[in-house]
Amino acid sequence: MAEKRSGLLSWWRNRDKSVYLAYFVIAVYLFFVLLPFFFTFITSIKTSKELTTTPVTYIVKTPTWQPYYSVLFERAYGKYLLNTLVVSLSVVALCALFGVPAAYALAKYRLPFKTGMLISTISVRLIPPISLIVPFFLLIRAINALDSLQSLIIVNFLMNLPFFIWIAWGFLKELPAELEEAALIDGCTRIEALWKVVIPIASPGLGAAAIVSFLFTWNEYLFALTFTQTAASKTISVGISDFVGDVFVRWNMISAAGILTTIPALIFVFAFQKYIVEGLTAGSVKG
Amino acid sequence: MLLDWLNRLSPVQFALILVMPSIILLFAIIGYPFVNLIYSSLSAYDMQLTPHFTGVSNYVTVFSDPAFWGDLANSFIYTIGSVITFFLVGFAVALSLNKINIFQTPLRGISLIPWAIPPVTAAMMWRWALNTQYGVVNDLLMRVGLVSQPIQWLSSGKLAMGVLIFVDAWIRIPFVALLLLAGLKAIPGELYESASIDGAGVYQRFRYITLPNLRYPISIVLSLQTMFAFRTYAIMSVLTGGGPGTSTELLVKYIYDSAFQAYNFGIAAAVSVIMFIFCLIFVAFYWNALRIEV
Repeated sequence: MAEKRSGLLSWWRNRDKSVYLAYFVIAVYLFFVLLPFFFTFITSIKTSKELTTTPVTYIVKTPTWQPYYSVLFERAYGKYLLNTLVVSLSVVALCALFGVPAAYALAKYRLPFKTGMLISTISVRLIPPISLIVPFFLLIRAINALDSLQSLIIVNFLMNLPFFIWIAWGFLKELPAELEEAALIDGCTRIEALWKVVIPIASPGLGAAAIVSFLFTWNEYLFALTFTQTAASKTISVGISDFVGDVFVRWNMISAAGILTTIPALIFVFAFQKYIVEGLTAGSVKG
Repeated sequence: MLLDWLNRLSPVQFALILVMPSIILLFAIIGYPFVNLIYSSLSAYDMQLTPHFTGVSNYVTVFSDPAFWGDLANSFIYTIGSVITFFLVGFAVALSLNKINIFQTPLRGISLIPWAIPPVTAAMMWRWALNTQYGVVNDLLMRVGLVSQPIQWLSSGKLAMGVLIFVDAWIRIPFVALLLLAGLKAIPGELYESASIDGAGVYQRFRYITLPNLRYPISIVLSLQTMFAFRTYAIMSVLTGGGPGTSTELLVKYIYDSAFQAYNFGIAAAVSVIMFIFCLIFVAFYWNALRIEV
């Protein structure tokens, strides 16, 4: 008996106990991450009456999908979701169209002022978006594009292009040069070498750049708040913040809207986790 | 035709054709507004929104406005509070994720979610969770018996600022943890083994192996996220709108209100320039402190 206990004791002594601390830290962190989502979800299926019962009910007595129906069809939230999707996808397409050739040239060709170009591209990100809001506002007003999806596409494209180039550049410079050389010797034109050889091979990295630009545009608030006025161009972020001032909107509806903005993000994170991680960590671990 | 023509160009010409559209766009459409911004900051706007050059008078006005100094101080408290929180928690989460070897991918996925959702949504969810009467936070605190009265999270200035800092850090921790975790995984295990053989303790291994090897990701995380925290608008706007009173009013709100409440674009531009200079200082400070070479 005594022998057994000392065996247990030495087992306990020899174990690396910092693992338990690690589990504890992760558990506490996950609690704080998941708490608002959990509470928002249960709120989103409550009736307006159950919303204001105290103490708070955690097992919803009369679950209802009415709040979802209300935000999607009685408010313009479905339209906001569509707007946000159109803007985000257009931004990604434009970023790819301009960013891939630029990143490729910077990664693979000799260029005058190459370092200068790279640094000035990324330093655009140093400018606070709010500083650009007045000049952008005047510009968009001048071309009569206020309250249009085009205005949001233009500004988000410009804000994301440097980041896209930076991430894509990080991947492209790691590709071996022999690939395109072989393609060129086989009689491909330079554009064909880029299109048929480099882009397919670099697609995980380019995908990462695309996903990060997509998420940044999807989540953007300040420009959307300034340049949109009606449901014609409002995005989900502006739509959800509008609900706060709307006396007919209850918290179960706001929560439903919150869950509706969370679901795409959830799908995105789990479907593309590998690319997101690669995209965000590219070039950041080693100089 | 076009393809043949592109093929006949010298490599440098070809590369310039690929890179120039982006460079020209960025310089024309961000570079020009930026120059325009500096000019605006030295101008007064009339009713037709036409600028008239007035020299440094906007800066004089701003510097003699107590509200500017109040908002600047709030922005600093907010930023420093958030940086300390997200860095320490993000580091702890990264170290912990690195330590446990099971479920790493799903755990990392879940911990990324706060970063992937719109900050407006995040702020909205916390606003409801912190609701005095019907919020989950007060309800749990009362059920556990930690407090006897519901706490009014957003009605007192100091507490409201604390909530803003918490939510801001909550959004940023995933990015911090992710980058530091990637950095931790890149450190060769042999370094730790040989250090242990030489008798280095936990603290010494952390101080002399982990930290120096994480210098680069740490500098990225701190410079980017400090900058982002300093200029973020959504969280304050949704949670407190700057209140109660002006106790959580940040510099971004000063800019936004000058521009779109008072239509005083000159003042907004002047404060924007000041904010940009602070962003440069943050980046320079971290890169210098962590001895990063470009």
